[in-house]
Amino acid sequence: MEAHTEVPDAGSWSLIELSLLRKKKAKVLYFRRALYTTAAVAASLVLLLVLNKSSYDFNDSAKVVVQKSAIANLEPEQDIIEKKSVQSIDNSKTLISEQISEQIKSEKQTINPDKLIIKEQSTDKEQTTIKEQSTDKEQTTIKEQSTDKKQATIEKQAEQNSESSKSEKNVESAKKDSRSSYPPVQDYKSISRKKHSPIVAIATNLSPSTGNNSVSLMSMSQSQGGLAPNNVVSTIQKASVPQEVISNTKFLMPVSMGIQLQMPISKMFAVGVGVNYTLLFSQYDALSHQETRETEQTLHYIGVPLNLYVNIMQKDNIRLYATGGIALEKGLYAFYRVSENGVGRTSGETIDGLQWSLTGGFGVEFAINNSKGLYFDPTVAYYFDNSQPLSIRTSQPLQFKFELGFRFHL
Amino acid sequence: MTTQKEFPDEIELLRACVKNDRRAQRVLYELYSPKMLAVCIRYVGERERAMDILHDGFITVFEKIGSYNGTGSFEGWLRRIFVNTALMTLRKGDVLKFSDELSDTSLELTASSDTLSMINSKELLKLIASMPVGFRTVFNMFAIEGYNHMEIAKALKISEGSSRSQLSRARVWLQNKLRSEEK
Repeated sequence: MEAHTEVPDAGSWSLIELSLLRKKKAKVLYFRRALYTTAAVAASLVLLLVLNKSSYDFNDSAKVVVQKSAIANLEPEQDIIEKKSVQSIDNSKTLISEQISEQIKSEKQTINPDKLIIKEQSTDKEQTTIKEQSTDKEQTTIKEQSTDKKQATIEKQAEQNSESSKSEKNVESAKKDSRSSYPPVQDYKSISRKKHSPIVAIATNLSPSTGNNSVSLMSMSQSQGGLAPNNVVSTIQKASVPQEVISNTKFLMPVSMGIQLQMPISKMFAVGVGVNYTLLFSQYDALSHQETRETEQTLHYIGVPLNLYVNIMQKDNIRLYATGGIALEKGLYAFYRVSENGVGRTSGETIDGLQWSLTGGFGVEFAINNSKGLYFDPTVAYYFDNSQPLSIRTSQPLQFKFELGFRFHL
Repeated sequence: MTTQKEFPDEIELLRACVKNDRRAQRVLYELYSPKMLAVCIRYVGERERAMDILHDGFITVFEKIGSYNGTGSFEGWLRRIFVNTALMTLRKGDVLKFSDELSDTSLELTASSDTLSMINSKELLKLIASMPVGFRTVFNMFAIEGYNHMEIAKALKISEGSSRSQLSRARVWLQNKLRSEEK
């Protein structure tokens, strides 16, 4: 009985060869998709870091700019200023001013009023005092001192070499300029937001899941009492499916866009509700000796996610949180583009029923400023079997999702 | 046209297949596809479905051929892949959900193996192909492939008792068929 043989149909090797080629291509495609997804995530992270750094360093950069400009302007008289600084510690103000005036006169050069030396000491509390002293020869000092732990001292020395008749006016204008060029004291604090303010979020959602199934449509349609076709594509294909069909199903990456309103209910918790729109793409290829049929399916879903957010950590302008919730989606329309032996046609159907899903994960939000934030939520979603058309969700109910978007704090 | 003369040695043929040499893969297909198609038909009972399994089986073979370590017969290794592919297909259609376990072993006693030996292999294959899927699967695995009930139960995700009962019923079914044909 083991020696019994049956001759395969003609052309069966060609189909195997074709499938092997497709598998090879699919591997390359999968690798590329993985690469693109990784690149996209990496680019997003870099963007977040850049935005985070730029927003975090906003005040620091102001200081740096001021410091740099001062240093740049002082370069020709660097030695003089150093001397002046040392002398200002050791000697009396009058003596300093006299020496400075003498040196300035001897150099006969003009120094801009923005020549600053800023010293900053940070402590816990935020009490600051600014003392400003000006000498006869346009020396200005700003000192910030904190009483308990925090002391911030800003010393400013501006010197201007000009004729005595113009000096006072220049000093006044220099003072005004230098004051206006300082960042406000509160800018040194990290970005603070109104507590319990509602948040509007706009986001895109990518799920890097893709799938590939090789199934025989005949085996599905012929199994008695077995798999009832839960798919309109299957229904279409079943109606006129030829014998000896081998099919290949590909599920592409789902894409979502949405808007969400988040309402804080306490310092720790917030509830978010929104609307999102999802597109699910699939491709079905059916091959037989008689014909080749390629079907592209696009499913349109609109959904309402309801999420609970729990703050885990909030430091400076970074907020970490956990999120979990439920989503209800309604299939709006299933669009099909079918190509039979190169002849194309399109069709569409409404989708019955609702799709329920659970989500859970973590997220991080980077504050760009007081009213805007960029967030990234990697989550896991589970899609329940609700007799929806065949898609990546029915094929792989457990999905990883990456949500990236902006939050606007109202 | 690829000929088997290009790869007279099976080891060379397998090495070439591991390297995804299409010509070698085709030679392997031509060598074993008739036997494997017969195996598939025995399991699914229909030539059309058997052709699907043959296709999927060879795809698996070419993907996994690197894992064949050379110990044991290559044909045996190949046969296992096709049997597993056939079982997977049957499992997809839920046709292997055997709910009825036989507590009464009298049916097993009434089935005589003498009857089976009286018919030739072609007739038997025809009969096997017309068997209900549950009977056919277990009968194939036990009587032809040589699996024991523990292995069958594990492969089909059913209980050993269910495997035994399906085999007993298969034997009785075959016996009744043969008797009715004799009349």
